[in-house]
Amino acid sequence: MATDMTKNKVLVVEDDEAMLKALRSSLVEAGLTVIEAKNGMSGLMVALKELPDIILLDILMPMMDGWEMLKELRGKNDWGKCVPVVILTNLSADEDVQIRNIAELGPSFFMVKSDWKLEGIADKVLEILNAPKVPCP
Amino acid sequence: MSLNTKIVIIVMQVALIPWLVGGTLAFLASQEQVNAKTYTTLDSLAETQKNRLEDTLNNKLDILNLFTTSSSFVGALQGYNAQPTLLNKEKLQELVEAPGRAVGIRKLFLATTAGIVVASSDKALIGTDIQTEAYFKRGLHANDESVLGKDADGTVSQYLAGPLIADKTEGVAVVVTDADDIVNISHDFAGFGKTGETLVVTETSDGNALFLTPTRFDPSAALSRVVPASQMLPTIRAVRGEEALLLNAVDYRGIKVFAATRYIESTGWGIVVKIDQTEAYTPIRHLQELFLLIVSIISALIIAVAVTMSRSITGPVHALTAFANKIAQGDLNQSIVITSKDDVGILATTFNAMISKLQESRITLEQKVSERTKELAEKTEEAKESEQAAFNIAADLKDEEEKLEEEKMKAERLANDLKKFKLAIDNASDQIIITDPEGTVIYANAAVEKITGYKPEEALGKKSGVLWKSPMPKDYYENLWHTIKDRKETFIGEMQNKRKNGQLYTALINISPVLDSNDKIVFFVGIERDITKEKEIDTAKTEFISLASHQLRTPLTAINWYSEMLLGGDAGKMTAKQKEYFNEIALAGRQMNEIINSFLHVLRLETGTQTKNTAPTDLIAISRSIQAELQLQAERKKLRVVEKYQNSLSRVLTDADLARIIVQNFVSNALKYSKDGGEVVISLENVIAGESVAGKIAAQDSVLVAVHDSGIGVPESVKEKVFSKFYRADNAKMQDPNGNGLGLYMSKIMADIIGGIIWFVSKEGEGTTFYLLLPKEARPVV
Repeated sequence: MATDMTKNKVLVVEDDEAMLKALRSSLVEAGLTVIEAKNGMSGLMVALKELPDIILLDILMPMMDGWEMLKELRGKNDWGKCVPVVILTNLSADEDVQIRNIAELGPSFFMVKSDWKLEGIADKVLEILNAPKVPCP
Repeated sequence: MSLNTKIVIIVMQVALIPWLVGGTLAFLASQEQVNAKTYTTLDSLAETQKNRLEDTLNNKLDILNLFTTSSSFVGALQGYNAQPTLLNKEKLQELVEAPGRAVGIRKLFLATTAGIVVASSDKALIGTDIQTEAYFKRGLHANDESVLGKDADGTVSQYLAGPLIADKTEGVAVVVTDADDIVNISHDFAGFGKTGETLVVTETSDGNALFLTPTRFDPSAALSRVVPASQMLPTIRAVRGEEALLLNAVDYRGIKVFAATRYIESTGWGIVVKIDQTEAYTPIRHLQELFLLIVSIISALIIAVAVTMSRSITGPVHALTAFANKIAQGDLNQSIVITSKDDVGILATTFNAMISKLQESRITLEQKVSERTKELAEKTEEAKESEQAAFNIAADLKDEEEKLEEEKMKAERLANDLKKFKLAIDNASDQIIITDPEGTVIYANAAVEKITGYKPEEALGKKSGVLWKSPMPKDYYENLWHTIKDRKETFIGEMQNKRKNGQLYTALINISPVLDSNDKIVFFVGIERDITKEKEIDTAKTEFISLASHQLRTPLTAINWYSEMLLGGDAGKMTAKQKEYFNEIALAGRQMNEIINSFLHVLRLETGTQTKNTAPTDLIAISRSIQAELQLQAERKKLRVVEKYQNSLSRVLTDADLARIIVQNFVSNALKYSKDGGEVVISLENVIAGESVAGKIAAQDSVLVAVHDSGIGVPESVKEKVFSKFYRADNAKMQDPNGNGLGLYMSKIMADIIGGIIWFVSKEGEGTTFYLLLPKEARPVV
């Protein structure tokens, strides 16, 4: 899939080093620039500073978890409201009521890590980046 | 003095004075213009610098807010304050270390309200006392970012501090960040010429102004150089909140400057934007020089003219004198020619014209100056108006507590009637309490002691629950009282209580108001059951689901992803054998994932945590996607998959996810238990209410999903067990040893949830057809 080179900065917020390494390798291979954070708090700060084009967000993390980070981000400013976020977790949709209500949290997507190949995740990221901009509240 | 010299001096005076006066006026006018221009420039620069600093400060406040409003931070500190255990301390420490060096954070630490640092990213600070630090004192009351400090190595840091507030202030979070951004703003000299600069100062406790950043001419000024309050320098005026334009100001070096002052209210910082007067006046100095040059040239010209003129006047006089002398001597043979006096007239006219021109230009300049001054005044006015920004005034709404009428007499009369039930109630296993309408206990049964540890007599006369209540959120009580007192309905809820021995327990409480014939509350009956055990089991179940999903899936994801990377050649090319083995790992990983997913589904179904999302659903789309997903499996066994979809198939109102899992199980089973080269038929059709299909009668308009295979079939003897948990028929086990016996069990429960009917028709050795009948408007059974 062709990548629009002006939109290629991905922030991966993930506390598990093994997951992070694999994601980084696959996303870089897909032609994306990868920046990282290991918990929601530093994820939020890196996001607000670096303004990535998309965020891959784990849920269960120490410090500030993915939900708290997402809520903070959406409430922060106009950019935060509209940046697409992929919740990438091993919790499944029914575990967490919030995943069911994901649409309320701006342009967000949900993927169970163990159900996806790395390639599938990279494809999904490219697909979201190349999709026409979703209007956000 | 000769007449000649006199005339030259007079002419010079007459000619040069208007010139000098006019020239000086012009010079003053242009000086005014320069002043005005410098003002405008300084004013806008000062405004820009103020805005830049305020933006930067706001961004930093956002960072501080992340911590002070973080429930994790507040909660952990609250926990530590309540129980200062090592574990709670470690939790705090983990939190402060989490942000690392993100966005210029140098240190992050938490202090108690007494000023003792309890957790810090710089461990050396733990245990130190910061109660006398300015940032701590200010941060204890409100978010503050006004304090800059110098570290041991001389770098300047900014201290952001703010209170962590739960019900009360639990402590202070301090974020030490780079102050480079502030320094960089003050050191941005673009548009500042050679001597212009921005000074950022703060007021010291004794009213002096302390430089916060290095200045252009004193790199070591930051946090050390002070301007004494006694000298009314622009810096002092700025920290006192004055926003002004100063013409004849003197700066900290003692040099005359133009200055504009600004004040940042949030931090109490003063800003001075200034430029040396000598630099500001450079353009008019050129003008001055030019003017002098012109004056000299004109003077020379005037002298030349005057001399010529005096000669032209004295010449004839001399000639006349000579002529007279000659006449006196008797020489009459002389003649003289005297030039006309028009020249003087022309000269005077020329001077007049010159003066009037000079006057004109002076008026024009004065107009310009007054216009500029007016514009400036207007701009200042506008700025002032915008400062009158609207403040949000939060109005505190006070809840007025309603007073209820007393009805004690009736309650007491009715309490007498209770005696006949007393025996039965006394011996009930649930705790039963009766209170008057005010909530004062008038009866408590024996179970009170069993559950709470307090004797029933101890509870009598006290407010209900006062002995064993542990604090619940305020709105919980509000809701409780609103339900029983205002709406006069039964309140059912769970509550954390505390036994006499301090042990916490969870109670399921049920409180009902008892009304008299006038609908007035005479008393409340409260029944409480200790459900701690049940809650623990529930929690354990939920925790297991979380454990299964997260703790098992995470390492599995690592196995799957790294197999994928190796197979993709990320770590170099692999041999055919290595590839084969890794393919096995990848396959096993996927199977493992399916098993975990199935377990999770079952757990969710059994604990009733399976949620349902009903929407109009296109079953054809679902069937096609399943077919595509399982195509490879079909091809491997050379099976033909036939899709028979009725035209204009109705959509069904159901949960698409659950319906998909059921149909996917059907198709997957059909493929698994078919003989190689066989046929699997997936059909979808509309069924009208009352119609009979495969031995069942549809109760309402429905859609029937049928998946038929020509596989091993279900033996007659085990047909009843097919939908049981973990059950697998012997012939199925032989065909595929890897199944987990959960697929159909789940499908059955899911069908119940979405109001569908699930069954099958089969003959051993010939094949099986599984059916799912989904009502178009599915009504849930549960």
